[in-house]
Amino acid sequence: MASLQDRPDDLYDNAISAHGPALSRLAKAYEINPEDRRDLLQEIHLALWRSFAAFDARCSLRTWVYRVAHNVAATHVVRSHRRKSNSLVSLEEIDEQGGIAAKDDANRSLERSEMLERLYALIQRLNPLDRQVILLYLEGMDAASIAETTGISSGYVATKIHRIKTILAAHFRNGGSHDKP
Amino acid sequence: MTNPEYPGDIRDLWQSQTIAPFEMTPEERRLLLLKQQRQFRIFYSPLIPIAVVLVLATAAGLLIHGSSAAALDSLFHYHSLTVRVGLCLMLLGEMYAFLQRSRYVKERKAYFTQAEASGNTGSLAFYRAELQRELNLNRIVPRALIAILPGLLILELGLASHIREGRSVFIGIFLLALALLLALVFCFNARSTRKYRRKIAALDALGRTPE
Repeated sequence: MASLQDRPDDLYDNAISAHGPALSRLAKAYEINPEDRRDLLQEIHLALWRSFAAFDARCSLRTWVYRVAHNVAATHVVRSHRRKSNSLVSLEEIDEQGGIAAKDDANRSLERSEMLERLYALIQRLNPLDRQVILLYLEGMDAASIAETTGISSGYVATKIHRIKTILAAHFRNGGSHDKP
Repeated sequence: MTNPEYPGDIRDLWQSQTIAPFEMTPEERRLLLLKQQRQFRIFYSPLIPIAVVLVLATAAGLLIHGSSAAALDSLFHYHSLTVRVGLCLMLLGEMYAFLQRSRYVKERKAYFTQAEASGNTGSLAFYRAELQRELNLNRIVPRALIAILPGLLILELGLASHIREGRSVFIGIFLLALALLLALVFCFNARSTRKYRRKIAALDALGRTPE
């Protein structure tokens, strides 16, 4: 954990060296367009750098970084949602709809890049809250850490994670075909 | 590649993907921060345009009035009661505006500290509350204007009373500038208010708030 005596610039440097790749993945999950993604990353980095003036080490550096990044990204989603008027759905709706279309290649082994593409497509359809939970889950956080980061109850997070696991299993076990458990 | 043993392998796949590193130099951060602060100042400070109008109107009055040294002397050394009252009221109005603004900052800080202590700052509820707070800040703008305007009007009338020639031009320029200012401020304010209302509505429509 970062020391309180650290200067904001040092904390920022530590955060970026430890979580920079995760922030890039997060930005890519929120914004597919490279230009917009760069803008989002800039906003996240600036917000993070400014936020360390108020960082009191009551939570871990990782939790703080994800909180700030997701707050900025949520603003970005709402803004771009209004601009592009695309419809966002919840995990429950994804599950009910049978997931993203992948009927043609149900029996084909998915390549790594294709799986990632499909994963991004899935994430980008989700509403901000569910997007936040699935991204934190993919980053390797457990339910308690996700609850701490998002501020929602761990019970609710556990339900969401269960749903995420079901959806991921259905999407990637059989190359995208969605067989409900 | 074989299909992953879900979902653990999906997490490994996610974390192991290669993405070009992104870095921001301190100079880039500083420039972006300046840009954001500039936007904030333009939209939220009614005092800046008011000060500009005041300076322009006073400068116009002095230009019209400037040919007479005696008149200038009377303006600066023998302030009428109207000018003094106007000045006091305007200063009170500005103080009110600053107090409103600092109260907003203080309340926001307290709210953030409380939310941070309860680990709530990442939630959409917190984000929504922040948007509502920004919306409330917009309401300060017309209040600040209402507080400052009477003093400003009295002050300018007092200044105008010192002008013997071209008084109507001075008042005309001042009123025109003031009308433009009010139109601009209310236009920006209304646009900004609509923006936050839309954001809140979109968030309400998007979010499935838990519990």
